[in-house]
Order: sequence, then C-alpha cells, then structure tokens
Amino acid sequence: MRNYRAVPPAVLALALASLSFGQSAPSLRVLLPERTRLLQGQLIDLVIEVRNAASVGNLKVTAGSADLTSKFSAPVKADLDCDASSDWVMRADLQSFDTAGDIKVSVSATAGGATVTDTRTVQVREFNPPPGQRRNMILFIGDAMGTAYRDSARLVARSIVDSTGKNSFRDGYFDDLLEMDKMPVSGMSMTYGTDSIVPDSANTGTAWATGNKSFLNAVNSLGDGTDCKWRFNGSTNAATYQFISDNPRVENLWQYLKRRFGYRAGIVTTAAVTDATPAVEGAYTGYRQSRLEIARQYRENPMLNGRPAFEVMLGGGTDPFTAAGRTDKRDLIAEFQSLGYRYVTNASELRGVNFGQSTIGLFKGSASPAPASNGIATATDVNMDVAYDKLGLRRPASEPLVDFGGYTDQPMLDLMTQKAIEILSAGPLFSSSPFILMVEGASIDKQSHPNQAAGTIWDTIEFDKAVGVARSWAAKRAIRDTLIVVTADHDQSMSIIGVSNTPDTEYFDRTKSEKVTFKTTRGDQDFTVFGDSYSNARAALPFVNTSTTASNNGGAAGMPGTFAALSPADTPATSTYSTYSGSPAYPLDSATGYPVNSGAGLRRLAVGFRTGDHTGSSVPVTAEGPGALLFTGYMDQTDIFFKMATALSIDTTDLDKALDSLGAAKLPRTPGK
Amino acid sequence: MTRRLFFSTMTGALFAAPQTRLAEPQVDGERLKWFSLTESFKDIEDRIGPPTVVGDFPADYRFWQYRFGGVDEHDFSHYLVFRRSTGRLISITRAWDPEQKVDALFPAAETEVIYATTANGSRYGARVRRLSGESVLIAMGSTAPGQPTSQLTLIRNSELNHFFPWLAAPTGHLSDKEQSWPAR
Repeated sequence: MRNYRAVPPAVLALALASLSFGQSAPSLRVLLPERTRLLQGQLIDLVIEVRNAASVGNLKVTAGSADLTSKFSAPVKADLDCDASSDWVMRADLQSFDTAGDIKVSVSATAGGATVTDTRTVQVREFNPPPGQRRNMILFIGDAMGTAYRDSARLVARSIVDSTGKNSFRDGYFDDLLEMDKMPVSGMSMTYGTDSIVPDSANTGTAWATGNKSFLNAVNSLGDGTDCKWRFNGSTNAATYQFISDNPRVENLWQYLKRRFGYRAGIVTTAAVTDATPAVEGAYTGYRQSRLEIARQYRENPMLNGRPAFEVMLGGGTDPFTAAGRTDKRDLIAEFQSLGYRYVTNASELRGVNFGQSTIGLFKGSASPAPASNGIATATDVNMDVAYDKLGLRRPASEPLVDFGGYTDQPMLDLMTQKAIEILSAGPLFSSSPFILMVEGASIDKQSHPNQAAGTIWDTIEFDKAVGVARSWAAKRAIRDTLIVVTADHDQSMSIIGVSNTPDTEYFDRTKSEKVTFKTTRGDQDFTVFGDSYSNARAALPFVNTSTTASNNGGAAGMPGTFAALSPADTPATSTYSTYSGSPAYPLDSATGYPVNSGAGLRRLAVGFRTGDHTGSSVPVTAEGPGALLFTGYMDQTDIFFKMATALSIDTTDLDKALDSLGAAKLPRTPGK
Repeated sequence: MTRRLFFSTMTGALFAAPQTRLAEPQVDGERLKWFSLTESFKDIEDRIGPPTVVGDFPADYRFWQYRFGGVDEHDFSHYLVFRRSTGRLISITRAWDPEQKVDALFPAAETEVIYATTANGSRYGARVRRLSGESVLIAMGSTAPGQPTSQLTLIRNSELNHFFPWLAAPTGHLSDKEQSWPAR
C-alpha cells in the first residue's frame, strides 16, 4: 500500500511559481488599450508582442473584414519584461481604420507550436466635415490651472480698487469676470492616467491630444514590453533610447488635421517649446525629457512624412534647436530658416511680424547650450520668465531673484497669441486653410511647484489676457468658425485659505524665519520656514477696505468685505484682520494692465500650498464657439479630443442655437459675465 | 577638500533630513557607502521611509520610486528595483537635476569606461566601477573625471544582462571598450 501525502500549499505555490518564471506558456498581446478610441484615419502603430516562444509564425491580423496581416513586419527577436525569455515583436507602423464603428481587431499566431490569440474592440469615430465647413480650433491649456488657480486669478485681477477706493469686487460680486469665466459653456475634466491618479503634463497631454490615455511621462505613446529597460529603473539615456522610442505611437489632432485636411498648426507656450504640453502637439516619445528628439520631430515629423509639424512655434527653450546643444550637431533653426521660416528672438521682433510667413520664435535659451550627460536632452531646459518678473513686480525675499540671462525683451503671452493667430489665419496667399493652435500658460504649474504664489497667480492672469485676445479675434469674424476651449492638464496643490495677516514689513523680510523640527521614529526632520511661507499666505497682506459703498463699511459686524477705513495697515494681530471677513484689493498698473502686488492699506489674497505637487482633482473646462455645447458636464480628459474633433467635423447648428437660447435676457445671468 | 567632505558637502547642501541623507551615496576613503543590494523592502523602508510610488513590472520585479530634494518636478530622485521572488533590492538609480560630478565614487584604478553604439549609430559612454560583493556602479554619460552625470546606478552584476547588456560582459581589464546594442 502506498502512502499518499498531500502536498503542502506552500510547496505547491513554490512549484507553480517556479513553473511560471521558468517555463511560462507562450502568449500574445496586441498593444492596444482596452478602450482604444480613434478617429477615422487617425494613425497608430499596431504592435504585437509574443512571449515565451522559440519561434513565431502564421501571423493573422484582421480588423473587421479587412486583413492587415501583410502590413506587419517579420517577427523580430526582443527581450520583453527584462526576463531573458524568448520573445518577439511584430509591427505595423502608422496604420489607421477608415470605417467608423466598433472594429474588432483579432490576432492569432503560432508560437512555440501553440496557437496564441488576442482581440480588441477599437471604437472608430467619424470625421467628415460638411462641404465648405472649415473651422479653426484654439485650445488653451493653463498648466495645473485647477479651480483654485482660476479663482485666485479672478480674485486678484478683478479686485481692483480705484483712486476713489471703490473695489471692483464688492459684496461678493465682481463687476467684471475673467475672460475664461465669460465663456458660455463649462464642464469638468477627469485627468487620470493609465498608471496614475495624479498625472503629469505628458500623459494628460496625450489624453487630450490623441484621445487615448497613457503613462506618466509618455508623449503620444502607449506602454510596451521593453519599458522595463528604462521606465521603472530611471535609466533614461541614449543607450536605452531605442526602448523609449519603440512604444506604439498615436497620432495627435494637430498632425491629423494638417495631414488630412490641410490645417495650419501652431503652438505657443511660456515654457521651453519642447516641454511636455507643447510636445504632445508635435512629437512622439515614451519619455517627455527626450528634448533633442522632440525638437527634431518638430522639424521632421513622423506623421507628416518628415515635414515640419508647425507653421508657428513660439516659446522658450532655444537650446535643443542649436548645434551646440545637440548630440547630432544639427542646427535646426537654420534648417527651419532654409525652409522659409522666419526666426524671431524677442518681443520687438515679434511685434514686427505682420503677415502669414511661417515663424519660429524662441525667446530664451542658455548662455552656453550643451547636450545633457544622458545624451537625449540638453543640459538646461530654459523656460521663458514668468509674468510677475516680466512686469518687474517685487518678489518675497525667500524666493530667488529673477535672472533674465540677457533676455530682457520677452513677449507676454497675449502678444504671442495675437501674433500666432495672425500668422495662422493669414496663411499663404489666396489660402483659406483653417488652423489649430495650442496656447499654454506653463508657469502656473512651474511656479506652483516651489509654492511661489504670486508667480503662479500673475501667470494665470497673463494666460487669461491671452484668452481674451482669442475671444476678441473670434468675435470679429464674419462667421462663427472658431472654437475656443480653455482647460488645464491637471490640478495643483494651491488653495485659497483662511489665513493672512502678514504685513509687507514681515512678508519681504528675509530674516523672519523659524526653525521647525519634526521628531519621527526614523529621526528628526528639520525645516526652516520663512516669514512669507510661515503664514501659508504667500500673497497675503493686510487690507483696509476703503470702499465708498455703505454696505462695505460696516466693520466686522457688517457685510462681507468689511473693514473700517481707519484700521491700521500694519497691525495684523487685531481681530479685524481676517480673510473671512475681508476682500482682497489691488491697484491696477494702467501702463501694463496688470494688478500690482503692493500698496499700503490693501489686502491681498491668502493662498496656501499643501505640497507643491500635482493633484488628482478634476479641472474645469470652458468653451465658446461652434460646437461649444459639447463641453458641458463631467467628462474624461480624452473626451476633449473627441469633442474638439466633433465640433470641427459636424454641423453644429442645432447645438449652437440651443446654447444661444441660454443667453436670452429672460434667463438668469451671473453678474460680471 | 577630501572626497568624503566633497560628497558630504554636495549632498548636505541638497538635503537636510536624515532620511534623505541615508539615500545618498557616500564615500569613506575610496569605499562606497550606499546600499549593499541585499536589502529587503523593510530594510529600505526603515532606512529611507516609504516610497512615493510603488509598482510591479513583469516578470519578477517591483519598483519603488522616491522624490527627495532637488529633482525636476516630474521625475523621481531615487529608482529602486527589487526581485519580488526574493524580496531583495537589485538596483538603485540616483537621478540628479542638475547633473552632479561623481569623481569621488570612481577612483581611476578601479574604473573603466564602456561605450555603447546607440540605435542611431552614435556612441554613448559610462564610467563603470565593479565593486566587491557582486555589484556594479555606473555613471551614465560620464566618461572622464570632471564630467557630470544625471544618473548614478548601483546594480547587481547578475542583473546587468537584463537591464544593461552592453555593460554586462566582464572585461578583465580597465580600458575602454565598445559594445553594440542588438538592433530591433
């Protein structure tokens, strides 16, 4: 009689684990996300990965009734997942689906003697503009411009106290809202990435530029099996770049419209033009910091058979376009110029641009451009300076001094927007090409990371002025043919908070600091907190409301926004000083059109930063123009891509009539709108 | 300035908290004091705290990423990779922005320079120091004293083939050599 003993579960688990690591069965995967959505004719790399197979054959790929098998390359040996198993990759680059509807993609192959399969259903959406319909698209991206950022900009830019003491923000109402507030349609956008609740500008940009989600740092690219070579271990350099650049690419709306419908395309940003938000309009790479490749793809775009991506490109970041800054020593600026592009480097030159010649404006670079040691970027990424500094306003003492680096004549974003629209709308002689333009207020985010509130808020105000330029231009058009959408890529950590009470004398005093120690089980953590951050009130100052409106002079017991005119300006310890019962007020510099962050007796907005990092909160969307009504309600960020495409490609007459009806005099209207 | 002082100064300027100091490479004479690549998840957490981001990737790896001190806002400062099956650390990469000089970690007598031929045909080099205990220290893109790097990696020698095959082959001497990537 034989004795049978049950195998202990732990031993069984080890045996199965050993089997799974050592002798996994062959498998096949087509690299399309579960919810892939595309436009008719939108290009995408179809990539098939086969794992754990000594050989691969008999590939069969169908999409609906179409046989795509012949489009694929022969199997290429690969090391997927960094596990030394025998793997294979087959590619069919830049494919598209020409018929709208739900298309079933089926893949089968023999791998190591077994048959392996995979399927996906791809939603393909129609894009067929009515005859003669040629609509323009202007997308404004306030980088990190969540609700608190829009609210802060409004509270600063629209709480203007005039020479008589009258505040344009009284009793909780504004005389005049922000430009983006006045747009008739609003919604909210959820910004999650495939790997992130808290996303970055690259994968959020990929969402609204291509209609598909991806991972942190991805620029119009999807994940693949060689990501293990670089994504998770931080090895992003020239030696691994082939694994960064082999991810499946999805065509963005800029190249799609240019390639298929002759659109003129542009980007305007206050960041380096190779930063993530502008990159998603013109480049394709797994890693956003591949600046040299992003610049090259602007010059010779892979979706456009090597033609340039843009007719207009304005922003900072000269370095990756210079021979000195590049590992391949190409002078991309000279190459653009040889193609007929005009090159401008400062605001004065930009003001002189007055016809439709394609234009590059790079308004800030480093003194000595050089490649980075990683071989895929430049040593320095130079963004344009922020509005607060360009306006010459005074920063708190704990913030770094501005360094223009010799670039003292940088344009403001509204001028850049105005010129981009002029160039794109003029077009070549006798041309009636429509255009698509992205305008980014980049340093709303970049100033928020180091918790520099004034820099953040003034950049949002600058951004809003640029929105105003576009709205004004579109309103003057003979026909309503330009859709304007304003949104953010993701939120950030600033909040409007209920503390304040820091007078100028302390706010700008570097010596006002306190050392703080947190005792933890792993040791102490020491911080030095400076006076201006101690109150969590970077832009906060005492305010004495000198409004002549009676209801505003009722003291602490009166209506909101209430301080007696004689309250002392520099004694914030008194009970009358609180943002709970006060309103901000700023003087306006009539020369610049911007509020000034100073003034005796004026109260400033109090804001605080929880971290200085991005957040996972949804962000507002506002829209105006044909098809704007599509942007109402809560939406996924990828929907923005399809809503823009839909507004450009359908007859929106009924939608637009419905929206117009909401503006009827008999319906409620928000004061200041 | 001694090498020890050099590194202490460099890291001290960036990081004040003890946890973050423990995450930084140090040198004692010419000996590297950093991680041993035998640490468990708990060892790491006890030493430098919980990571900012955690995830698994096939077939047998788990990554922990940290964001300490002066790094670009969208990147991480420390990338740690573990084998899930053993629960042990196999590599750590310290990413710097701006780049840092790391000469103190690469004494000339123990350092070789290895070049890869990249997919576009250009050369890309790294300083490599093979340490006792089966680990390898790599300064990506830095091929000579004085040249800074943005990526300093410590990895188990047995894992080089998976992540850096161009650095994997033992050379037996300390001269430049060239490895080519297999074309894909």
